[in-house]
Amino acid sequence: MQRIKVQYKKGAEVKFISHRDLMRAFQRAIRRADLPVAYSQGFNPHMKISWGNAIKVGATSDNEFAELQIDGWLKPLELIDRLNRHLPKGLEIIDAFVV
Amino acid sequence: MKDELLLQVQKPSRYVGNELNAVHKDWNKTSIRFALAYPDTYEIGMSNLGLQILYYIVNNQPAPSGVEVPDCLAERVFTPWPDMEQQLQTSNLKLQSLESQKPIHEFDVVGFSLGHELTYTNIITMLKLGGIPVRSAERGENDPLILGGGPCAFNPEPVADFFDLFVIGEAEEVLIEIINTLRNAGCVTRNARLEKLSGIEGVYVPGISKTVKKRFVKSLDPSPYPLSPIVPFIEAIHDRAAVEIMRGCKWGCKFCQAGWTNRPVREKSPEVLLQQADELLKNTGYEELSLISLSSSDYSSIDTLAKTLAQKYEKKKINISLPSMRTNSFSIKLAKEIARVRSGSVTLAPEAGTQRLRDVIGKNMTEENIMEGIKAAFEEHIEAVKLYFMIGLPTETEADLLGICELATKIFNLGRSFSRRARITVNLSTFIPKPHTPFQWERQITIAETLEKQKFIKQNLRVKAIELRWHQAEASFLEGVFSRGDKQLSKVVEKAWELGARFDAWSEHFKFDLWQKAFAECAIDPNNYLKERQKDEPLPWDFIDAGVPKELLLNAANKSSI
Repeated sequence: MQRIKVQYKKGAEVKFISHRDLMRAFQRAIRRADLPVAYSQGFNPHMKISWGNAIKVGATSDNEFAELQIDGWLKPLELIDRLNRHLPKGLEIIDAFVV
Repeated sequence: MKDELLLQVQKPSRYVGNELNAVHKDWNKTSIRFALAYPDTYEIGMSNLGLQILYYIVNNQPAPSGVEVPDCLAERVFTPWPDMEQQLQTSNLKLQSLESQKPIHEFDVVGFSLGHELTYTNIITMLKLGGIPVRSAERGENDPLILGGGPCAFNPEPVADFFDLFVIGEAEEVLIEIINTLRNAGCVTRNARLEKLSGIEGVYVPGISKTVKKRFVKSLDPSPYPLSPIVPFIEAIHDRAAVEIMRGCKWGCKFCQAGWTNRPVREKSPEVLLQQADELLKNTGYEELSLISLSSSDYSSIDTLAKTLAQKYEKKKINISLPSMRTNSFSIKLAKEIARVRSGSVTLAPEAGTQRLRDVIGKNMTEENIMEGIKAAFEEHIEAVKLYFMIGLPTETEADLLGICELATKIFNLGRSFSRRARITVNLSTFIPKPHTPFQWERQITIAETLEKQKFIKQNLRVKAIELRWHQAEASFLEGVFSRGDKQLSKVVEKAWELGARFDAWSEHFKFDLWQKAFAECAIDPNNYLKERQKDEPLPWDFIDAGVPKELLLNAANKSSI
């Protein structure tokens, strides 16, 4: 088990997307990238990701954060590379580090 | 679109695009440009499989010989919610496509998907805001061709004056033929283009075509299917990957237009489906895969297919869903085996309350079937049952309405013998005679009769714990008028729009008094459209060959009048 904190950009293309929709877009990108993110137990498992505060709709930022729990081990640089290949335009991982 | 404008409307992301898999082409490098328009909100339109298929076909047309880059482009446009409509109007802005943000009058073709009669006023909104003359007769050489297709095009007459051409039936092949015709037509006049297009089988050009024959693809396996569909950011109504396993339905219920117009039944092979499912999930990241058709229980190898998929994607935590399954012990067992996330409810549509009436309407379902299916559901700890019935069916009597109450009560009692939490919902819709069905000549009940029947059922449904819901009588009335309407009705649509009618399919927006006023001002009595039609009377949609000869519909109709 490993926790990776990512710093990401919410660019102009997605600035009108709500935080909730953004979270879903991230999760789908993680699925496409086939990253070994940990899931919660139980009947309806969900990805273990904790999200930073939502910025307001219409604003851009390159200083947003989320923390992913990884099932196993993954190099932060590999995570950046794989995830960025699958995120929709306007979303980009800028940095990632183990916490 | 300007930020200030977007910040003033609800759900701005409806108007922004930029979703995963959206296709952005260089506008100036294309010469045949389609705007694919859906006359409802983004969330509804993006749930439409047809739209995604057509988007894929146009954007993937290879370059014609002698041209270096592909020359076709398709972009999307939806009806702006009234708040956005107002913003566009006050800012004097045109309705734009999502991808290139181009006003829709700059496209060569604007194709509307006609899924429901109560979306007709939204077509007017989009044309007006798009800077396109509403009536075909008013359009000039620089205006796009306005094309209509989809289920309602099987009786296009009520909106025919707004359209330059229609595609009747499945559009996959016709669309490519339209593109080829437009390519070769060069810069000839609009009328010459329409004349040429009217020569394509399945294309109806009002004023030029005499008859038109519906089109359908022979086989689903080689048919183009989008494996990288657009994945919306906002939650669409159907927010999942979908593979179409079958087209058509073998049952032939006499009220069901989809059953009669989507013939013949065609299955997609399991090998193709497994491959498509794999690509789709890889390209979208969806957490759910839905196997869709009109009646999935009838797919030959549904059991093996669903189980294979469930097993294959279990590790990836992808849920396999099977809407449109008949509720019986087989489907309950299958759903239990494949579902990761179990739905707590089952849906059943007996449509009529007695066996006699179910036989009349050709609904192949006995009370034994119904009870067996529901018992199987209760045994699997499903606690909510949704029942769908129609009122106003041909030959219906009080006994049939009482039958609805009795059947619902019987199901309720059975449910409570399993669990104290069993919940039953009864949904009543008004029977609407649809073109190209054996019931196309039948009478539709009036608003007053509808209200009376709803009240009668409410009074006789003694168990108050059964939840009773119904369709708004006035909305069904209007849907009935337009379903079997004729050319005269276009002026009513335009008038109702001028009076303020918008999003009529949304009960919060539906204002029946505006429609009454519109009918009155056009001196049209809408009640005439609900009347019984004589079997030898010409019908507005007679010129459309939907694949089922009139004699066959007549035979089926006669069988039901016993």
